Amino acid sequence: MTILEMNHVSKAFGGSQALSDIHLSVETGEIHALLGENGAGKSTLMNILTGVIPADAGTITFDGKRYPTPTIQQMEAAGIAFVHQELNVINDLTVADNIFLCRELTKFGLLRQREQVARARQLFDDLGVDIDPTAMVSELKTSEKQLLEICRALYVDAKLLILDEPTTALSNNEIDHLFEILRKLKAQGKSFIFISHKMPEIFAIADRYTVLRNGEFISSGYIKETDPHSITSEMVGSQYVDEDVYVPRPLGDTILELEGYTGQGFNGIDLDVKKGEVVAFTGLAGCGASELMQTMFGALPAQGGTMRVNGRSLEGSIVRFMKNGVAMLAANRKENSVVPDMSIMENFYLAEHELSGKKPFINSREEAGRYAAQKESLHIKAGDSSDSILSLSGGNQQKVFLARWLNIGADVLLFDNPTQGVDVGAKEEIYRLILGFAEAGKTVIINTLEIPEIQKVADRCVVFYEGRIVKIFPHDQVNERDVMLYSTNAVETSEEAKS
Amino acid sequence: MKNEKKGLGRTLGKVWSQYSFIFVLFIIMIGYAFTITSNGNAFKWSHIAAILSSQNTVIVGTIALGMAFVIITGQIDLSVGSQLVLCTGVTIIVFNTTNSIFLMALAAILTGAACGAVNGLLVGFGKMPPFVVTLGTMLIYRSLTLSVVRKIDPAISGSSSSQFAMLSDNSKYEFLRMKFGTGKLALGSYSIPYITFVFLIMAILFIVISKKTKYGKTIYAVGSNEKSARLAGINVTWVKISVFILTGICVGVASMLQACKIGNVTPASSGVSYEMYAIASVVLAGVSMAGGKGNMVGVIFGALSYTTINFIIVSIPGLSVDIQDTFQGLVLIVVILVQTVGPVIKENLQRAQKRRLAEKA
Repeated sequence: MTILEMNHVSKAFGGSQALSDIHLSVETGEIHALLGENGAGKSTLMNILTGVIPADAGTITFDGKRYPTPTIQQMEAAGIAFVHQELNVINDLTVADNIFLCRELTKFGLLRQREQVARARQLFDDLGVDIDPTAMVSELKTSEKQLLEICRALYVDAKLLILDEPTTALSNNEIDHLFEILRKLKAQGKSFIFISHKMPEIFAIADRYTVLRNGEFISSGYIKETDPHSITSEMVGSQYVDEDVYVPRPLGDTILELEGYTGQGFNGIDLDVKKGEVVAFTGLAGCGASELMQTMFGALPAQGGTMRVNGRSLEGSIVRFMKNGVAMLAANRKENSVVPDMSIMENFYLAEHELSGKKPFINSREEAGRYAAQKESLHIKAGDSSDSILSLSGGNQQKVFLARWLNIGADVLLFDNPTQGVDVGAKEEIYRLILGFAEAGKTVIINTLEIPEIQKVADRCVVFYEGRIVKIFPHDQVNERDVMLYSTNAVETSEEAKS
Repeated sequence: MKNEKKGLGRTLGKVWSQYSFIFVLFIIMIGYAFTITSNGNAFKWSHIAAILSSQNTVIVGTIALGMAFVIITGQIDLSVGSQLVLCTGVTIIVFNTTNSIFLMALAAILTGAACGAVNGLLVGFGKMPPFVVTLGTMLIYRSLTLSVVRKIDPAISGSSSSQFAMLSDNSKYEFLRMKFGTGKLALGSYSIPYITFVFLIMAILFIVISKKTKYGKTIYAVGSNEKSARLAGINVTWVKISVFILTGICVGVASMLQACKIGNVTPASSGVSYEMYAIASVVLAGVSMAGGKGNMVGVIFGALSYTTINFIIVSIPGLSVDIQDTFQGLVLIVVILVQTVGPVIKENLQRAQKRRLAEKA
């Protein structure tokens, strides 16, 4: 029996078509994998289903009833529960309080706490979940919080649960435990939409799948009848790659060496990078590449191994890394780079001042000269340098921060997701700049999830999976399908399936 | 269909948003002149000179300079009133025992810096909220002073009652109290108290630090976005500690002024609520309590505005001094309300205008 039917669903934001003519059907008692790359339209589709945003066209039938204009309340009442990636549990309440939040059991306006705890315990017992209902949520492990959220949805008798990348923060044992519970619930007739990038998991748990790409419905079928390679190809498609920016360059001597480098989220990284080389780090969210990059700049502490730049071992504060010619353009520009109350000029010279602190006074003429030079070479489109940094577009802000780091004369440039929140034209410019830096003898490492980006600039592509390097591709072997296979660890899974 | 504003209006708007503290002082001054004249007196330079030399302007104003730095980094220091009592006590003891102006000034500044360093280190390395740390030291500094004042030989403390007083037998007393502490520099028919210059020199020093030095910029950066500041290589912990030490130095200078102008300090009652007055001056100066924003020039105006409000209330016959804080509180709230609600109203007006234009089109 089909519990959910979404047909011909379309949605446009402004001028861009986020979804066009999407189909999704989920059977009662099945786990349905919803697959697609970042930006494929999975979240938009789920937001439409849960009533967060209205669809432009299409029909939604849930549990035999049509919902022409679903609202959040309606869909919740109908039995759809969304278990978000960022957990929505309240840390300062007990487990039982969380389950009964907004639907507390009361008598004369007072909470019936003993009753709540008893019912929560009953619920946990039924599911085989081992959580103490009286414990504080803050003391739970992430996996337990995840289970708590699922239990909360089940308490209101949800029929369809949407799990958005539920395993991102879980260990292998915890994932097994979660899957066991999912199978038990499936046997009880609950249905799931399972959103994940990780191939091993999808092949372990899902019954059917639907693939979206660029807001379009690509395929749907039984997991049994397919394999990780063909699903990956369907997710990625054959994308147009503009190759003409990249030119092979002669590389210099080794400038950066990582040996058994270990820190938060990554383990035993060995890597040599040559002067003038552009290396791309990639992998799924949480694969450890971003943490590695931050550790290589002193922003996170290293826990083992060594990092050497020009033969000198580096550790300690950020300034020490800067003094040795390492610079990092952080991810999440707004959070980690922008100083919102300061002007363009002030944002520009901030880092350089940490290195030239022996001269305490600001020489505004000298600063203006340095800024003008960078503005010219990076093509920063900005009015007066005393204007607020916030007056610039995302791309130009990013260029100011590039200028901030070029201004300290760094040789090793670490760019964490440099084209985030930057429009297409500015992206192309940033790629060209990156290649320009390499041409001028600088070493660039970029961390990105976008594979076309890697094909444009990188000499080598390093793929991470769960904190380790799983594959290094040379430039001409980088293609979206293979990179995806390694970053989802699908290679291992298919090999296992074969043997 | 561009929403262009007229030249003059725009310039005025910009000046208002950047230099609102000047307008605030101006309006308050007019209010003061109005109350003086309605009392049947003429508004004269002597009224303004009184504001300039008032301990609210000079002592609180000097403290407010450091407080502004602390607030710009997004922190707070509640201990300055108690620090002032402790510093002045030490300062007076050093004067009474050494009769040396240099040693006295040195003691004042070092004691202040030490008090500030305690706050800063607890906040910086202990990772405790500044509100709680300085609340604690506020209690500690005053009670320490209070507990020793009676136990000290009157020949050293300068007084047999519960206060520290400058010994008038010392040869430098005459100069410090009569010439410097209460003396004035005559400029034609105007005169300006010497201690006001100390405040102004300190203010200029802090303005220069905030605008012209690399260190000054880091203060704003830390208050504006701590994460970005750290990732730009700034030693955020050190910046946070340093502003407390600078505030302590300001308190040290203020304690010199207290000693020279007043001649004594009473641990039980002197400097009470000065932390609030200093914060009020900083707020009237247009410094954002959220950190990252604020013009140090404004602190001079903030301190003057704050004193003037006091003077207005005192000069209104029939108003008791007890109600003074109510009016001070009200003015503070109104000024902040204008600053926070103003932009919201402006935005709403602009949105309404846009909607009207859209409807027309």
